[in-house]
Amino acid sequence: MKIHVTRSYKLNVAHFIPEDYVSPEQATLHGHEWKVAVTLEKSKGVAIPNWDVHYLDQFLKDPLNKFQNCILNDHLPHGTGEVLAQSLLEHLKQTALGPHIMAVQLIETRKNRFQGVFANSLDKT
Amino acid sequence: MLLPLRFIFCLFAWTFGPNQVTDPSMKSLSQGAVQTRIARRVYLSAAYRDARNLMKGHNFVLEASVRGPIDPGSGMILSIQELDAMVKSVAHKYDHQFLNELSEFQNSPVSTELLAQTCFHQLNEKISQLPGLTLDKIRLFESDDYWVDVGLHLMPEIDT
Repeated sequence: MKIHVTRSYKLNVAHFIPEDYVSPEQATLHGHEWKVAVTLEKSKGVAIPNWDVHYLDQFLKDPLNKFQNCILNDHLPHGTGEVLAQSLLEHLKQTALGPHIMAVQLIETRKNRFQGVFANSLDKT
Repeated sequence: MLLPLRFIFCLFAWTFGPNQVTDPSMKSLSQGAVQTRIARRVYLSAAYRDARNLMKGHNFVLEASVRGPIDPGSGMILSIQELDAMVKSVAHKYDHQFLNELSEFQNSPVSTELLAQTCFHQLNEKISQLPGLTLDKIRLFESDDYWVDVGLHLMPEIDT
C-alpha cells in the first residue's frame, strides 16, 4: 500500500510570458498567488527519517523565499508556470527527501495548473 | 432608585421614538416587504508594487452586489448577462495588467483598497443609470482569506 501526502504553500509572484508564444494580455506583466502543492509518496515499510508534515517546509524555504514577491522572469527563463514547477521539482529531488518526492503541482488560477511529476513515479503507478 | 427612572424612559422612547411608522423602510419591512439583491463574481490576475516596494501578484475575485426591485416581466432584478457584462467591463481593465502603470495609479500607491474603490466608482456609474437599481457593495478578494468591501451604505455583516 502507498500513501500520498500533499502539503501546500503560497507563493506571491509576478510574471509575463514572452509575446511570441501567447496572447498579448499574458505578455503584460501580471501576477498570481500561486499555490505550490508538493506530493510525497510513503510506501509501506519505507520510513522517511525525521518525518512529520513540517519536515518538508525546510526544504522548500529557500526556493520559496527566493521567488516570493519577485518577477519570475528575473530568475527563470521564460517565466512560465511550467518552468517554475520544473525548477521546484528539480530542487526537491536533490534534497534528502528526494527519493520520496512524487510531484509538484503549481496552481496558477482556478483554471490553470502545472504539474511536475517525477518520471520514476509515473512508472510505479 | 435608577431602575424605575430607566423604565419610564424606555416607555417614553417606545411611544415617541423615531422609528414608529414614520420611517418608511421600517414600515414596509414590518408589512413583510423583503429586499432582494444579486451578486456576481469575476476573476482577474494582476501584479503591482505595493507601498513597501514589494512585488505582489494576486488572483483577485471581484464580487458586485446589486439591489433593486424584481421586474415583474422577467422575474429578475437584472439579467445575468447584463450584470456580467458590466462587471467584466470594469474588471477586464485590470486583468493581466501591471497596475502601477495604469493611469488610475499614476499619482497614488496601489493597494487592494484603492483598486476596490476605483472599481466601485466605475461600476456604480453604470448601475445607477438603470432605474431602481443600486450597487450595494463591491467585495474585492485578494485571496481566500483577505478582502475589501466598498459601498455607500455598508451594513454590518450578519450573513457570513
